[in-house]
This record gives sequence, C-alpha cells and structure tokens, in this order.
Amino acid sequence: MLFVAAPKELRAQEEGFDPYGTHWFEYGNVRISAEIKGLAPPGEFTANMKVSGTNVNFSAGLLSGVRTGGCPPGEPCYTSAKIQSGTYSLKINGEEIGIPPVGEPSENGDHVRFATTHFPDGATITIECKGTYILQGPGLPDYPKSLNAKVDLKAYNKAILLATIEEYDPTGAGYILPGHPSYPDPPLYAGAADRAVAAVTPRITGVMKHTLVPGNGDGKSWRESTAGSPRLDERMCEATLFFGFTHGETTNWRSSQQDQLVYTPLASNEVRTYVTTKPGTPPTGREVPDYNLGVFHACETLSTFSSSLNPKAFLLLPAPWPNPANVFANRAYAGFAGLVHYQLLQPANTTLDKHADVLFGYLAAGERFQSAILKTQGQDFSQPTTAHVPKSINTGTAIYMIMRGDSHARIVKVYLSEQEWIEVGASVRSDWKWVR
Amino acid sequence: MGALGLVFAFWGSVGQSELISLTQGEELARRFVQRARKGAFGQIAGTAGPLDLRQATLVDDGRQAAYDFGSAGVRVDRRQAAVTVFHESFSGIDPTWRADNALASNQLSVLANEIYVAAGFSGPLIMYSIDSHGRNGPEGSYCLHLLPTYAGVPFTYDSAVTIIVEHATGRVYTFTVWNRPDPPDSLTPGIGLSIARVLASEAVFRYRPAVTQIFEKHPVRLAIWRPRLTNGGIPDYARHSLAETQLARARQGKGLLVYWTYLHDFGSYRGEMPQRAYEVFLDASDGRALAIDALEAGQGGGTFRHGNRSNPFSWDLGLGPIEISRGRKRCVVEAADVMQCSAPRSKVVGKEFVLRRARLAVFCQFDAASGVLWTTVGKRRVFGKPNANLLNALRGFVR
Repeated sequence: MLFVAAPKELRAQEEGFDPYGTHWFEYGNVRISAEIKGLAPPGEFTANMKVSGTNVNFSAGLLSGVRTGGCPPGEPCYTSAKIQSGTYSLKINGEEIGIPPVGEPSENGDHVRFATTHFPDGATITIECKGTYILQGPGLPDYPKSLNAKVDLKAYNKAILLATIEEYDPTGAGYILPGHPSYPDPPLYAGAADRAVAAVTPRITGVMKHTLVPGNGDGKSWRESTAGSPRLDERMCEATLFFGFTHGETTNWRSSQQDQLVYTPLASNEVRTYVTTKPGTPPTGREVPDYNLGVFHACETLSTFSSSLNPKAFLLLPAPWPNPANVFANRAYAGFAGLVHYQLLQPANTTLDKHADVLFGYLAAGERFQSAILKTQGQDFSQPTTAHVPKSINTGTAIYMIMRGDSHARIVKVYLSEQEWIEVGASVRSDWKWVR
Repeated sequence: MGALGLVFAFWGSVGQSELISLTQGEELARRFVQRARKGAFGQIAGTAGPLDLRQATLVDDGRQAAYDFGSAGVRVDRRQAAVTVFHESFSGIDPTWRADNALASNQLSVLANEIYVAAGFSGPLIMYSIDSHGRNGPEGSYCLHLLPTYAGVPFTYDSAVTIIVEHATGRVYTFTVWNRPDPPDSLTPGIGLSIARVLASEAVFRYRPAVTQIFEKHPVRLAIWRPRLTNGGIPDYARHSLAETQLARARQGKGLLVYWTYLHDFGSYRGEMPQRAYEVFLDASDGRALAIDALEAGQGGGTFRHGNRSNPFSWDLGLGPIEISRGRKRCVVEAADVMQCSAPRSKVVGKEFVLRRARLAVFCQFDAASGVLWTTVGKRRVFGKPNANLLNALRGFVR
C-alpha cells in the first residue's frame, strides 16, 4: 500500500514556476496557480524584460482548474476543485496597486495597466501575485497552501533631445554655424531651440522620469553619419521619446551641423534605419521598446498630404496609415506641415520655444497628447487664457502643430484610465485596474 | 443636467446683468454643437455621442462659461452671447483625402458663415486662406482662416476666425474666434487702394533695400487693426511708427483703419517657399507705414538642401498691363512687355521706380538714354528691354 500511495503523495505536491511569472501546484488532475502574464506588449513576460510607456498591461490572478479528459491510471482523479478561501495581494515594487488587498481570489485574473513613467528609468519593477488558498473538493488537501508568482521587469524611459545650433542659409551653400561672421548674436531660431530644450529637459527627466541617451547633454552637439561625437544615428535606436527643435523640409530634417536625416522614401530612409537597427557589424535589430512619442518643432515634419513619413519612420504610425484608418495604441507624433516662424503669432513678443514649454507642461501634468496640443494652442474650450499660436512664414496665418497617431497617448499617468476609457466610448472593462 | 458639476471658478466682478445666464449659455452651446456636427449637408457623419452636459465651468472672471459635453466642448462668451471656442473629437470617418469628395471653396465659405451665425455672431466672414489635406488639423481636414467684418470692412488676421472641418462632410473639429478690437469711428480711407498697393511695396523696398521683387501673397485690403502689443504695451513689430494717440487706442482695445497686406520676397523663394516675408500696415488716412512685421531667413524652422537655390529672376513678362509708380505717382501701361537683354556697353544711369505686373512688384531703375531697365538680384543686375509702349511711358514717367 505504501508503495502505491507514495506516487500519489508525490504527485499532489508537484510544484513549478514555469513559464516566467507562474507559480503552480498540481494535485492529480487539479492545477492551482498564481500567474502574471504580459498582454501589451503581447506575449509572455521574460525576466528583466524592458517595458516602456503608459500602456504596459498584464493579467494576474489565482487560478484553479481540473484537467479534463480523464486521469492517468493510479493518480487521484477529482471532479471539481475550487479555491475556497484565500488572501490575495498584487503589488508592484511592494506597493499595493489599487486592487482590494484581501478578498475572494479571482478565478479569472485581474487585468492591470501601469505606466513605466511611474518609475525611474532602469528601475526594476517587481510584480508579485501572492495567494493563500484552501481548495475545496473531495479528497483535496484542506490545509492552506501559498502561491507566489513574481516577475521582474525593467522600466525603460529614454529620451533624445535635439536643439539645432544652426542659423539661416544665406547663400544656399549651407547653414551657418557659430563662429561664422554672419552668425547672429543672439541666434534667433537656434536660440529658441536652446531655450526649448532647456525648458523641456527638467520635465522629461523629472516628472516624466526619463533619462537622456548617452551623449545627449543639452542637445546641441549631435553629429550624424560623419565623424564626430556624439552620434545621433547611433543613439536613435535607444530612445523611446524624441523631441527635436530644428530645421526640416518635406523629405528630411536636420540632425546636426553636417547632415540632414532623410525620411523619404519610406522603404529606405535613414530615420527608419536608425530607429530600427542597432549599429554594429552587421547591424542588428532594435533591442528596446519602440518609440512612444515624437515631437518636432521644425518645418514640414508632418506634411505632404497623407504621407506622414516622419512618424512612420519612427514607427509611431503604421505604414498603411491612413488607409486602413488605424493607429498604434499610445503612440503619437506631432510636427508642423509648413514653414513655421520662430516668433509666435500670439501672444505678442513670444517665441516658438514657449510653445514647446507649454506643451510639455501639459504633457507633464498627464494630459493626453491631442488635448495637450489643443490646450497649448487655444483650441480647447476649457482654457480661457493664453493661446500659443505659431505663425506660418508662407501665409502669415496660424500654423498649428498637428498630431498623428493615438490622440489619447500620454507620457505621464496611465493610458486611458477607467473613466477615460468610458469617455472614449469603449465598452466597460470592469475587471481592469489602472495604476496611476 | 444629469451629472452636471458646476464649478464657480473665479467668479468675479463682472456685473451679472451684462451676461447671459448659464442656462442660456448651455442652450447656445448645445445648439452650436448640433449645428457643427451636421457640417455642410445637414447630416451627421461619424460618431456623435449624446449631448449630456458633464460639467459647466465659469472662467475668466465669469465672463465665459465652458461646457463639457463629453466628446464635444464649448466655450461661450457670456457678454457677447456667442461661442468663441469649440472642439469635438469624432471617428467613424475615413480620413483619407479624396479630391472628388472634397468640399469646394464656395461650399466652405457658406458653411463657415453658417457656423459663425450659429455661434451667435453676425456679419459675413471673408475667406482669407485655406489649408487642405490635413496640413493644419486632423488627417483629411480643411483649416479655414477667415476674417470677420464690421460694416463690410474686415478685421486683420489678429482677429481671425479659424474653423477646421472634415474635408468631405464639413463636420467641424474646431472653431476658434480670436479677440477683436472695437472698430474705429470712421471707415472711410483717405487714400485709394491702388496707391496703397504702391506704398506698401515701397515700404518694404525701403525697409530692406536688398529686397527688389515682391509677390503679394495676400493683396492689399482695407482693414481694422489693433496693433499687437507686448505686456509692457510696446508694439511687437520689426519696425513701427505708431503715434502715441494710436497706441493709446490700441491699449484701450480699439482698432485703427489701415491698409494691410502680406508680401513675399520673390527673390528669396526656395522652390515654392519664401525665405522672407513682410506684413505691412499703412495708415488708411494718409498711407504712412505704421508697422512692418518681418519674417526673415534664419527665423524659421525650414531647411533647404544644398543646391536648392533661389528661383532665378527673369524678365520676359509677356504682353499685358504693367503699372509703373514712384511714390504716389503712378500710371498703367496697357500692352506692355519687358524682354530679357544683356547689359548695355555704355554706362547706364538709372532713375528708380516700381514696376508691377499682377501680384509681382519689382524695384527697378531705368536709363532713359539707353532705354533699358534693370533690377538687382544680390550683387547682379538683370537687364530688360521694354517694348515701345512701356518705353514711351517710362521716358515720360521719369522725366
């Protein structure tokens, strides 16, 4: 008898931690588990996986079930099993994340969304799903058992800031640089770029909890494709947020003193190449999460009818956009379609850097992207005060910063919290939890 | 009202008798949203949620009220009893631009005026500029830049109305009315439009001697203008000669009667884009240049690839009327033409004048002895030979 009973006892205590984020026990044909599974990006989490943005989703819960289809000979065979009672907590970095800490364990699991910008760049985000349960069912053990699933992720919040130092092109032979006899003092457009980066940097590295890619500094020293350091082309594969205050035209924008970064044609453009590959011999693919946001205070960086080439190059818009009319969730891009002047149309005596400053102020406050742009430019009904309206050199009229992609994208707080989810007309997700 | 949450923010000193009630404002806002949704054809295209008021907020010392209807938001100026800002997010429309379905400019003009009336304003709007293909708004949108009018006279762009609509249906994304000044006492100019055109060009030629060819992007027009002032009350222009009495009017929110135009430096074009542009405001009573705003190279976010040079200037204007002018002296020569020619061998001594063909004005010099005229492009002179009609007129003109 003992010889026969031993395998049954052994089977009842079988325990595992596979796949990553799952802790399970099996009793014969009964399986009980604590599971944490990644949803967005899709697929299972992996250890120390880099995640980025305000739309990181996972499911977590205590689950139980009976394997159907019969039982192996000689093993316990149960007809039903249910978690009778238990405690359950879900924590990120030890912090309860808003789910009732004690209660009936969820049989279905909870869906949770959080923002990596709640954590410093590089921080380990530990998600724990703990439970103690008593199984209910004939022959099942009646003593408490504990489950503890745990996942370690890495917050990845990396930004590139680019401020041009170049001024006008008086002869058509090239932009002039500091030190040139005709270089204005103070520089007009480059001065605005300098002020813009100085204004947005503390927001990006502060409340947005990003770090700048190596070599970024104040954004004024980038080189690309030519000798010199730091190299923008080598760093574009590392960032998830791009802010540029520079010069642009319909096919390219200027990255540095020597180069223009071409973004058309889409099939073989420099921007896309640098975004999607990591430099090396041979070059390898991008190893970190995709871009969340691109903002270009530069001429013609979102232009030419429906092509939107620069956002496509950053993978912030799907290539077929706008047909079919779809977007990537929580990814967006903003730029100007025409020639934008450094002075704003309104208010008086204000320059384009102020537009960037105000816009990032709204983003840092957790505004959604479209809303932040509308509020910056006086197009939002709830903002009665100062509108910051850029001016078109071509027509002298307002040239609004426009966006493409997901209008609900944001960089602070969590993407589409519960109330916002309802506001945008989506079906209620009562089993979802939004964390900040 | 349902879940109305009324926030009495900044309830201030404005007398309530001057303002419409919150309920009246809500009714106006709701009617406006309903009209804006119907676009050009009276039917709602795309998603349109119920107009349940979620929140009403008093702002700007209570002068304005903001009504949140969920997908749509409206701000009402309670003193003017008019909608000044609106925006709505909607989907369910294919944003792809389709030229065959795009509303024509006359349809857009009718739509804009109807929207404007629905907002509570009166007086026709003048279409100033149109951005198509989603260049200034959501994908597949038009952005309409319009000038409000008073007694038939438009306000300058500082008082513009902008409306962004879906290109095929005219459903409104945003509607924005900017502040406008009180009109001047008199709307009768002291000089005519033709002289004003000449004076506006000459104002730029004087301000920037390097500029010798001007293209009228927006033609000269009579307008009501309140000079843009900094917080310190200083005019915010590259150059101005506003009198203290005029500045005092501006500080009181009152407008001046001006001739107003937006000009490109034709010689600064790179492809189709100008590197330099000038906005000119002339006193409508005497033609004096009150202010020039300069948008010049190095001040914008544009870049141009090496080799993308300026458009070369060339004579060979083709037969047609040409206006010649110097100061207030002007005449129009019918059937005039200028043909490109090489520099004469003899030394030329020129007298200055402005030649105008349609929307292009060229600062020229004419040498009566050799019968050639020329303009300067950078350091280079470009010579032309006038036809007989123009030659005769020029000889008489510069005498």
